[in-house]
Amino acid sequence: MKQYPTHNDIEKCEDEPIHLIPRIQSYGYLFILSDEDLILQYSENAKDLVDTKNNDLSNRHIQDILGADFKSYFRSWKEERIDKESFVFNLKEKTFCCIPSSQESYVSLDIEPIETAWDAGAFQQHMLRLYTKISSSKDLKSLTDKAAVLIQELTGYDRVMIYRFDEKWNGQVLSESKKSHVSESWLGLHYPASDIPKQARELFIKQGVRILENIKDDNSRIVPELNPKTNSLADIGKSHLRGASKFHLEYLTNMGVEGTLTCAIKHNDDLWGLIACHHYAPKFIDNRKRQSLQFLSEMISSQISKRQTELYLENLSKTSIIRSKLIQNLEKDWDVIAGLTAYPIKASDLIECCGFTIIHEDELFSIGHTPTEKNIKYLIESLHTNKSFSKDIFYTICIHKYSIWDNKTAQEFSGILACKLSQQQNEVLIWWRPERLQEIHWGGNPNNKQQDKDQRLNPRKSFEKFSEQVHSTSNPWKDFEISSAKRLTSDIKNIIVTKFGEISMLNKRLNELNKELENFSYSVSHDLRGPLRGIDGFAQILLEDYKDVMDDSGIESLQIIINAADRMNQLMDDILSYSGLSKVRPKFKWLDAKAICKQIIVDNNLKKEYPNTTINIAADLPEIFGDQAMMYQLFANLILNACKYSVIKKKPIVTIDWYISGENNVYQIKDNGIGFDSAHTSKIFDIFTRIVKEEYKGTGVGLAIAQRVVLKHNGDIWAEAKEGEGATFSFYVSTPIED
Amino acid sequence: MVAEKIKTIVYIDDHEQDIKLLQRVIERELKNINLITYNDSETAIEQIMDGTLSQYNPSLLFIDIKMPKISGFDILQTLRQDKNYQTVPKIVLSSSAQKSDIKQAFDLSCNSYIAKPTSFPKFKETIIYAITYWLSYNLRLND
Repeated sequence: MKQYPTHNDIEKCEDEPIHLIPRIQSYGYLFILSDEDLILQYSENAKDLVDTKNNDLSNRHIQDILGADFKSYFRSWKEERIDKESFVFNLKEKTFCCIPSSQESYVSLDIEPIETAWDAGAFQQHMLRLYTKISSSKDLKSLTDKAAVLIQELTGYDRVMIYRFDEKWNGQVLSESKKSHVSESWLGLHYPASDIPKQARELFIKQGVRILENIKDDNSRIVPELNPKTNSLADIGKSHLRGASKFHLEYLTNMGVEGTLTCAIKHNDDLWGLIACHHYAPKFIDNRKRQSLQFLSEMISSQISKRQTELYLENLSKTSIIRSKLIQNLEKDWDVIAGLTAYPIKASDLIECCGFTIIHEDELFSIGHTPTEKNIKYLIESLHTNKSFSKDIFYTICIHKYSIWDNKTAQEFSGILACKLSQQQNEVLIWWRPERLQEIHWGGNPNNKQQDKDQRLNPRKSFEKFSEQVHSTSNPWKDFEISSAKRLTSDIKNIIVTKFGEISMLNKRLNELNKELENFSYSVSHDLRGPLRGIDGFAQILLEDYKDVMDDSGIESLQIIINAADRMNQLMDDILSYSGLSKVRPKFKWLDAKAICKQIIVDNNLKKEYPNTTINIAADLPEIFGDQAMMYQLFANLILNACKYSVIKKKPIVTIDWYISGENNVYQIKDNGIGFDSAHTSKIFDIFTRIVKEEYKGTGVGLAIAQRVVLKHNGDIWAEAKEGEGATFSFYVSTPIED
Repeated sequence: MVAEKIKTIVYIDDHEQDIKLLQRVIERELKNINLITYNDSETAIEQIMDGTLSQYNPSLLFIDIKMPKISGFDILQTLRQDKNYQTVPKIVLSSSAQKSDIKQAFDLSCNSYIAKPTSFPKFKETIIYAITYWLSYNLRLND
């Protein structure tokens, strides 16, 4: 840059290149040297320091003009060249401090007066005392309160404030220590980010401590204005002497302040806050004291870092107890949604919120106060579309800014913290936070910048307390909350992976068991039927060959053996078909129930077997959703039972009918037969349970099969009967959800 | 019955009981049949392999599947490789009705597969039908 912009050229404070300001505060002197220690540029007031007849110091050797004391110290500094390591020298019975700093192509020297005598021992003691006081404070607030008081004692400024930045670089006064004559307290006030613009914050980090001795000081110009080597304005950003921006001076003037001192407080290499000292008259603090302050502010920085980390860890360990509880819940039945929402400790307890939503495996489930399902889905979709939610986590304290929802919803659920369970957008955990109506007290109205006739922005003139209502904004999501949300998410991800593992293992085991069952059925049929064939076969042979020589009792005995073998055969058939139900995976489809019933009548020759029985099938019997073979078994068992138990009536009637109940079609098979005592209704479906007399053949498996089929179809079956008056069996199966 | 010449039927089954039942059915219900039985599949396969069995010129074989050591499948496998049995009907008579068994039996070139009926009257009826069909109605090249 060849010329420093004038006040009128700059539209915004943050555009001003303050590190290039070509003037310094006149309490000190500045030299810019070449590699050969020749003076390239100097502050005009430097002439006062040097006995010279020559009006121009340019190209003079620095070692020639500042005396013998300076010369020797400067030489030893040159050997080490430690940046900003100052040395003290005497010149004309005065003590000065020289602070050198290296730039790319030149070295700059700050020279400023030293006021106080130096006692290293006393200094160490003093610092130790400060350290003990600061490190013994129990929380952040008491730490900053103490620091403010100590710094005020050390420096004597009228007002010392500890100032903390929020994430948007607005500042708030955390602690304040002021002299009694300063009436107005600024404690708790907020200052907008524009008060300390970006380039100023960057210089604070570099510089550490910055003093403005007297804002009314005329400053000393740097001559020549352009560095002869680089032919541009010299960067004096590291110089303590650097003159202040006109904007800043105007700002301070509006405050009524005349001398200031500022120290940076750092946390994780970023600016955490500032120590701001104000004086209502010019005030100079020499470099030694400023270094003590620098040391002190580093101490405060490290204490703050320590406390922040402790607080973070403490909060994290509190939440990790909740987190491990949630994970335990989850592992109880491998149900992610239930684990987070169904137990006394819920995901909404992990993080302060008004409600919690999980979207998992196409299911959306919310607890507490949350937006509508439609709004949630629309939000997630929109955040994906506009790429705001492209990473694993998304959070905001003001969803209003994303212009996704209507104002009312965006106000009701201002804060959103969302984590992805997988890369798919329909796998999300969301915590909701309500709007927190808060009043922020600004030091002056931040939105009302003064504009003068030239349309140029001036710093604020008023520092009257200004209160603002903040809308559509929730409490901030804290570090530990964000990281516990992340941790929970990754824990759940792990569980989902394990769950898949467990399920596939269970499936494998189930398949093995099914195979075993199959083998068992097979050996039942093979190994048991062989002997049975022998019993039946040889009983028959005995009967054929020795009928003539046996008496009636012998013949009857043989007949009983033959009948028993037959019954056992039947029993084995039924067991096989009952266990066979577990083997096959049903193939569900819509089936013509009427056709199935007709087929059963034909297959079982019912018209011949039960010539007196009337079988009525409702003309409008609706289709049924199920597995063909299983539905056949179901209807067959019920129809054959109805026929069997009604045959003794004069006019047996079997009716297959239906009715609608809620969302289900209930099918009924009624007969007017012998019925049964309704006391038995609960047992009637149990396998091998028979509640009728021996004259009715049967194994007690038929109804168990019917019930098993219905249960496999997510339905229900029940019976109503009266002894001697017939029975009605009713069932329904669940139907697929219509799209 | 229909058969005039004496024909030889071979029955291989480890169940003595089933051999007895089949024997009885043939003795009582059919004529001109010479029945050779093996209740030990090891002996059976030996006599197939050394040609002893083929000297009897069997017209029909009944073979059980589930037998210890040498199964019905092993026997079918051996028979398939023996020219003497190429045109001899081989009928599986097993208590298993497993689809996998049926498939394997036909893969090994059995000609018919019968699941042993459990009740004796049914068994009798089935055996008579099978023998009558294969010996009287079914035509063979070398008859």
